[in-house]
Amino acid sequence: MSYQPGRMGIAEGIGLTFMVMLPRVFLTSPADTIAAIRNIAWLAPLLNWLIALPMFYLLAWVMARHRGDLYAVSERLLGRAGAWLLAIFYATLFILDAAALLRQFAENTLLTALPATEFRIVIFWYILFAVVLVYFGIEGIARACYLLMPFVVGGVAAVILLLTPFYDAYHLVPWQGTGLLSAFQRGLALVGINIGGLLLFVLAPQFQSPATLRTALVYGGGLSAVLRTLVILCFILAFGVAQGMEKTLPFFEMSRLVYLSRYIQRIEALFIVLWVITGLLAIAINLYAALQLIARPLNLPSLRPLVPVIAIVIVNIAVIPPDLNTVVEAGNNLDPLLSAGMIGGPLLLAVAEFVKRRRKRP
Amino acid sequence: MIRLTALVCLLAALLTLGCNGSHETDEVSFVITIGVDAAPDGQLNVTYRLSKPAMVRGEAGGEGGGGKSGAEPSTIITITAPSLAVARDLLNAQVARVPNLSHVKVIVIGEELARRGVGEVVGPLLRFREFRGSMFVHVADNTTAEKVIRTNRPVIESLPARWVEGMMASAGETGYYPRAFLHDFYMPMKAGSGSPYAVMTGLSSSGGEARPAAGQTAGEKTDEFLSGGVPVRSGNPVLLIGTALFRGDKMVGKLTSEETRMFLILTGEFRRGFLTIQDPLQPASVVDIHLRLGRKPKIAATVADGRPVIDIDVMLEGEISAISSGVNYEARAYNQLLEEQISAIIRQDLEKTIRYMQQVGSDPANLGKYVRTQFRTYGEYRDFDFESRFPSAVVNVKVTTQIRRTGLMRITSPIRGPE
Repeated sequence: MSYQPGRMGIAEGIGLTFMVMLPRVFLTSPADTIAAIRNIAWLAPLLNWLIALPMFYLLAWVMARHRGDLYAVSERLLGRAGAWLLAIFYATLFILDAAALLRQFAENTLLTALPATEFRIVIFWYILFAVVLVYFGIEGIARACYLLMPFVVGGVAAVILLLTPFYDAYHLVPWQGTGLLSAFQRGLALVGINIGGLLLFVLAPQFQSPATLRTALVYGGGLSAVLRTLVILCFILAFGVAQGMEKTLPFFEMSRLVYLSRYIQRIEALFIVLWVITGLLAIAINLYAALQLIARPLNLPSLRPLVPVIAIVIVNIAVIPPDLNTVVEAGNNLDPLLSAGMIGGPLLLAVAEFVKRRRKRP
Repeated sequence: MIRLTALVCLLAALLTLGCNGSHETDEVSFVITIGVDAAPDGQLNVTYRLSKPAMVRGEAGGEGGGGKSGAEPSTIITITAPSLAVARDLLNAQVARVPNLSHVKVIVIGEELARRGVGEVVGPLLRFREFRGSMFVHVADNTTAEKVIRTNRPVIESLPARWVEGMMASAGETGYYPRAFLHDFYMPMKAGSGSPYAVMTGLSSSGGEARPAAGQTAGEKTDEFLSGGVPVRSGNPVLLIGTALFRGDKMVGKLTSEETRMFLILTGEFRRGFLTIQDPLQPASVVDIHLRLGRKPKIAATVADGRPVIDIDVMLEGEISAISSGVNYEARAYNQLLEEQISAIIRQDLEKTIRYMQQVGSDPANLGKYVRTQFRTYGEYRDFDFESRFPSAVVNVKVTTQIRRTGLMRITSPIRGPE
């Protein structure tokens, strides 16, 4: 397998962006956001998306002026050492993100579906399937993501609609929560959860043009942000703030609460499959992004020999935290680093491009 | 290589998925009702009603199902333990199957324990994966949960689980008891407004003699009951009637059947029910009205001099279902008399119910949530501390009634007889 992944278009870009930005909504993140900013928590995903979007546009602007992928453009603007540093920094972020997702999804599978199963077995299967997906290549992953999108959107929409009898709009007031400023700060702090969108720039030559990248990011990332917003909004409507921030798995709790009649209840098992598949794909995408960012500076002809090595690194990082709360805390501690990557990288390249252009002028 | 990988994955998926930690259905015992009572030394008496699958199959299959007619579809076991978790483990010491709580329909709490506080019982329920927020919560009225569970003999439904679901599904037919989920019970325990509430379940002990729990409102002919006073002579001695009110995690009061209707009117969940009133023109006779909410009540709140002021506007719709006097209430001129009488009765009942809620400091209708709109931030509302101000809140009630239909008769002709 070459690190040249083939040709992809808007559909694949939308699928990748959507699937890599969504999975945190199935984890503890919504409850954490409610604990931080209370009633206005639903606004945070929209805010972090609105902050991330200009960064993507900035990067697309830089990429439009050079040929090649993110590494090639970085090399041209920052020099070889700068490009190496940037690639290693982003590879580290993708590895850490994959490790955080792997551990949380494995723990949550134990917590909800397979309580009597050994943790090692669950984490083994997660990483094995991520490795198999990466072996099949990013094109296959991207198309799988695009094909699965309607099911994921439909599943989330079904839970949201089935919970309607439990909604109380007064749970959203006092509407400012802990205040508008803290809502903005939270949105800024969580901007890093959109970092998966950078994968499209890592694979830029395969997406034909910067316009394709922009379209894929706007639709894929936008849809993901809208779904994240709706899930948090409906979670608050059904559970309120005080109970909402207690929950480990908000989306699972939402699906568990569905009760329309004696015939339509206890349907959470249907939706476990939904978030397990989303989690698997997101871990595979992060793994692929990390491999690509390692292989490019080293100029490796193929990614395959690296796949098991990086997968083992990811598993080893994932099993470091002793318990689920530490995992969630570690995930929260990772957010500022991801946000720095989300904002810092595009800004750095844009400034370098700007300076270079000014120097070129007579 | 890809074919080999695909084959290995396929075989692994077929051979391993779903097998880890699984139980065959005949290794599992499903609990359908849990009763919790206070026991000496801080212990709990936990009563389980377990489904007996072979008997259930017989019931469902009817004559051709091969079941054992006359056999009980469930069995009841009571265990004394310091917590629900220990009780579940001790249950496994007696039952040759793995107890599974994921099909529990209802948790019944004894009144003594409810008055002592249920925080330690309810908290773990929402943490453990086998329980759901969609379980129902009942409080045993003036008795123990164990007694209610052991005495319960559904007369139409032979499966106790179906009885619970059927009772809860039909709660809206009368408005005499609410449909209280564990989710609805737990949420106000933590939120900044509202109070937990549960369905009152109890045993009819009046021997067929009516023992109303409260006097009738002027102009009304419907008695107010709690379970002990309902004039039931036969059938299932276990009744669902009334509402248990909580403040924090402690039970502080009870709403009668009529007060429960008022509480449901306030929450907008009153679907329908009959109201028997005194005939406005011939007080010795009665008129039956089938009532429903015309729309959700309009409730607005403000804060004046640190006191919450809550304005409630209720709109009811009615259908005449019986006129015993023969007065032509179908005519608009008489019709208005009925509407005014109904509005006056419901207003008095609402005011009485709200006064009682304020007196015991419990806000099951969550009137506090309307006050939240007066604040910008969560902190400001928490500092206001609605719960402590609720007893002194000013509540203004306005009720209007519209008789929409007169049943299947458009005019009442007088009964012919000697002048």
